[in-house]
Amino acid sequence: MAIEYSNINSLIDGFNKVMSFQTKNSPNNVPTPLILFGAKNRSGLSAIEIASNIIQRKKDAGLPIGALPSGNISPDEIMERIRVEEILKALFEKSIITVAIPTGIPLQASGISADGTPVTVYGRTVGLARGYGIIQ
Amino acid sequence: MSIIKEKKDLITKVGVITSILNSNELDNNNPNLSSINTSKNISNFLLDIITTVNGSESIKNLLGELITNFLSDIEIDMKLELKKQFTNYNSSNTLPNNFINGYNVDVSSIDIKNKLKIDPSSSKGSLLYSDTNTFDSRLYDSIVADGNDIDFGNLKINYDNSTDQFKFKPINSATTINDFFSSIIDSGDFINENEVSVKIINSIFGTIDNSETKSYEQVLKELKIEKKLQKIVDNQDSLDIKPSEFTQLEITTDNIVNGVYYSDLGCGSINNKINIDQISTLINNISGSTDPLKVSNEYVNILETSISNTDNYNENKDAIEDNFFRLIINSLIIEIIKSFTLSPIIRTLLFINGSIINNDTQTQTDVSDDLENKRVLFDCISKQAKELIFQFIFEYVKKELIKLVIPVTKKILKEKNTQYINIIKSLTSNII
Repeated sequence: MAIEYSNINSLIDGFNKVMSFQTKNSPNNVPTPLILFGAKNRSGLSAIEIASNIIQRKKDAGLPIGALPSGNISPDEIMERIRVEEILKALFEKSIITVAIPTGIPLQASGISADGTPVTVYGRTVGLARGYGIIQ
Repeated sequence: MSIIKEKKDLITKVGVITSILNSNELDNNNPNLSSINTSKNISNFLLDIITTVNGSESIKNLLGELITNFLSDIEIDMKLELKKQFTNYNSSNTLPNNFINGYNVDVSSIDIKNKLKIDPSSSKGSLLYSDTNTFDSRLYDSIVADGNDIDFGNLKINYDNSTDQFKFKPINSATTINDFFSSIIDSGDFINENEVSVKIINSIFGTIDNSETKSYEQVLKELKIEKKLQKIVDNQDSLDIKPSEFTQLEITTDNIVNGVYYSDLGCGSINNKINIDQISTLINNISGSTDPLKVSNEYVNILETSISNTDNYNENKDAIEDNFFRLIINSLIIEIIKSFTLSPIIRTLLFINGSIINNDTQTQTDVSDDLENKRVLFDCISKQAKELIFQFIFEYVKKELIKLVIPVTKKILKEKNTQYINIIKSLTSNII
């Protein structure tokens, strides 16, 4: 990287690049068939489940779990559930997932021509496409 | 939901929005790091990063690295820059006749710090003249020789006691202007590790300045020149000295002339002193050393020797050491730049160059005027020096940062692998 050592902005960019924790390889790709078959069998997100797991892991941080000595529920644990609920609510109701579909996707289509002859077409998509999704 | 709860929720929501709109930017997480609030001072910012990465010990180690590994290498790159700055439209011409016969110039125009008045064989002189073959030493030799020629590279130097002037002329005149300047620059010795160490210590403790008998006007003149150079180094547009700055210079001049030098190392540690013998000990111990740790420890020793209030030092040792090394490193940067802008060899080259350009007529100029009129030259030299220095410090900090980043990156890679395995498991657990 070309750095101007007498320019403070360039030096800051240089240090930021050193500390960016970037690794050369992108995350491992999950095989597409696995996504197709496996994704629909997932259970979906649950605020109660997530909050429970977080509270469960409080012991990893050396924090007490469960009711206060007075018998009341710990406000910290209530807050944990509220936090997760609000985050998931935003993800479920407000998030937008946009998928960019590249060109070159192989396609095969079959049908009947006007005179009744079976027709099979082989090719690849030629234009970019876009898909949308939700989080459940 | 009841109407009461809805009203409570609405008021709460309004309060939240107001709070978000009115909240200021998060306060500086490091209020003690003044470099964050001063946009242009790069050296202090780099030193703050080093301290954040690895504590004050890193700054001490950096000084050792600068003196043992950096000073020996900077001269090569700076000489290339100097050669560029002394290349003019007439550089391919042969040397002009008047210069071949010799140009005369006042000693005071070349030797702005009066170094040539100090005998190299004296205890002070032995610190300031580290070698007998340097340009400064040859100038002194010509003063002693009084009328006899002394050679330095392709330059003949002759001193006239009656006029207190040097006469400079080429030894080999059958050369181009460009080759002449290149040969003098190549022969020149701009950075000497020992001399730089002496000057750095002097800039903090004033040992050399205090022991000289200079007039008030001479001291004030030198301080004004250094102030203007500092403004060039700081990229300030104007070199004019403001009234408040001038007042401070006058106070400093008074102190120096009266033999008083306040060395403020922070945390109330002032009036610390070092004598010439102690500087000699430092130089003897670090001379020729290639061990950065040894050099930096010797500087710690000289700091401890200088302390006037040992109780205060013991209570605030880390902070005082930190301040001391920051002062040393900032002073080192300035002394390096001074070596390539205000030293006698540079003053000589500027004089000769200016005279050749001025129709081969010897033209003596005041150093203060040169700083203004030749601003581009000084800007380029200062910028190049800073690039080299900051590049060295940046690489040093980068090495330390990488030591932190590598273990974290390994953890992140391991985390990503674990996430991948868990994703595959989550997709396959209901299929199988």
